[in-house]
Amino acid sequence: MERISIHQLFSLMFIFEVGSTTLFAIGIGAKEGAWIAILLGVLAGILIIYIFTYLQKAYPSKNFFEIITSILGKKLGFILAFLYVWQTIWSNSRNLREFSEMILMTSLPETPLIVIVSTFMLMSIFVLIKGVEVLARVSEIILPVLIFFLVVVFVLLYLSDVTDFNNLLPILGEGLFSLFETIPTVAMFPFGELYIFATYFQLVNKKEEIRKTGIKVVVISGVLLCITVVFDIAVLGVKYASISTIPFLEAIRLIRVKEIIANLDAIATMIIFFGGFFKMTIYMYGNVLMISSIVKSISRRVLIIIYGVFLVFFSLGFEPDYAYHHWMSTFDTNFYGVYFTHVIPILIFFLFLIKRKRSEFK
Amino acid sequence: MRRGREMFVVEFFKGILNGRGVFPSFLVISSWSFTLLLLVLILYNFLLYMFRVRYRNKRFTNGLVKKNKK
Repeated sequence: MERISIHQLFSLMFIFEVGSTTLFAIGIGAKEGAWIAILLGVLAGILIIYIFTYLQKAYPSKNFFEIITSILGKKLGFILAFLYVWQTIWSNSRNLREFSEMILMTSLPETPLIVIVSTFMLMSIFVLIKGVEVLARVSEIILPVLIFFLVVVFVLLYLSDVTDFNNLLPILGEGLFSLFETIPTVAMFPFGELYIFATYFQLVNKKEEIRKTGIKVVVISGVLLCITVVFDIAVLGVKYASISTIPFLEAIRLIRVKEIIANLDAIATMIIFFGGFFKMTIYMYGNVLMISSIVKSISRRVLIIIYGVFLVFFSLGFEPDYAYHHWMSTFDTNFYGVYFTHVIPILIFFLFLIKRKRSEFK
Repeated sequence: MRRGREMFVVEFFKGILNGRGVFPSFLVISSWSFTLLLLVLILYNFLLYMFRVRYRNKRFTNGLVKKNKK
């Protein structure tokens, strides 16, 4: 059976959280209070880690699908697993399409979209056929590189004299309503998306350390996202940061230290590439694990290939363009994303507690 | 009156799902329905808990780690 170490789980979760989300101005709906929205989103992330690790601790030998069916029964559990599979397919396709479009916009404007999507997918299929351990080991190598890039960007932005921290004032100038309105979006993207790791927990060798690692990831990535959004606002201002497609890239383009260090767009492209690849591949493998526990007759390798090919065509066909993609983002997170990542897990958790209490009656 | 309420629900869904596509609409309706179903299940189980009705299900207890009682 495939196994990943606790450090590898940390690397995978961290890249999944930070790799891609740093590019966007998360929580910008709360205007100058975006960083507060992220900090509150961290609490939602901790809650989701607590719930999933609690259920995994209660059923240490079972995978996510088996845990659901144990609590809800076979029929309801199967329906919910089926819904989770479709929700993940949707998120996975959006992810694949989003990063392919970004590569197209930033580096390869003349290349057909299908070529970029297929290249991404071929790499993911190759890595996953080699096994999840390979993906985990690669994440251990990439993680320090990614953090180094981010820290370098922060330092250079500060040295470039383009930051004006007065842009962050007035804090909560739009009132508390805009802050609370933004929290469900931040809770789901990026912190709620960690639900996919519920399918990975069974592969971890030290299960007792999963919760600690998960919470560590949520807190550290939350702080890093906070710093990113602070720099986005300080450099671009709230208005431009909120309408820009990739605010972090726009900020990086303004780096100019003594006319020597400039044109660092390649760093943003690398972050897009690493972040996109890992997020998409982690989603993909998590969903394949879920499908393979429902459909046991198909081998995992075959399932990876079928799923990958399906995802390429689905991601190209389900959205007409990037404007539609952008328009759907808030709808996706607020109208059903947050149900799959927070509401349903919390309800399952309560149902589990009541049922366990009832099973202890003499 | 009842028909009016039903129409309100239809109009509400038409309003929020307009132009969103089949797949997201399916996910919205299914996630909301499932949430409602879970709420009913929780309420039902809570009532049974209040009346101290024992839950017997091998699927549920199989593999379940018992709590450490101090």
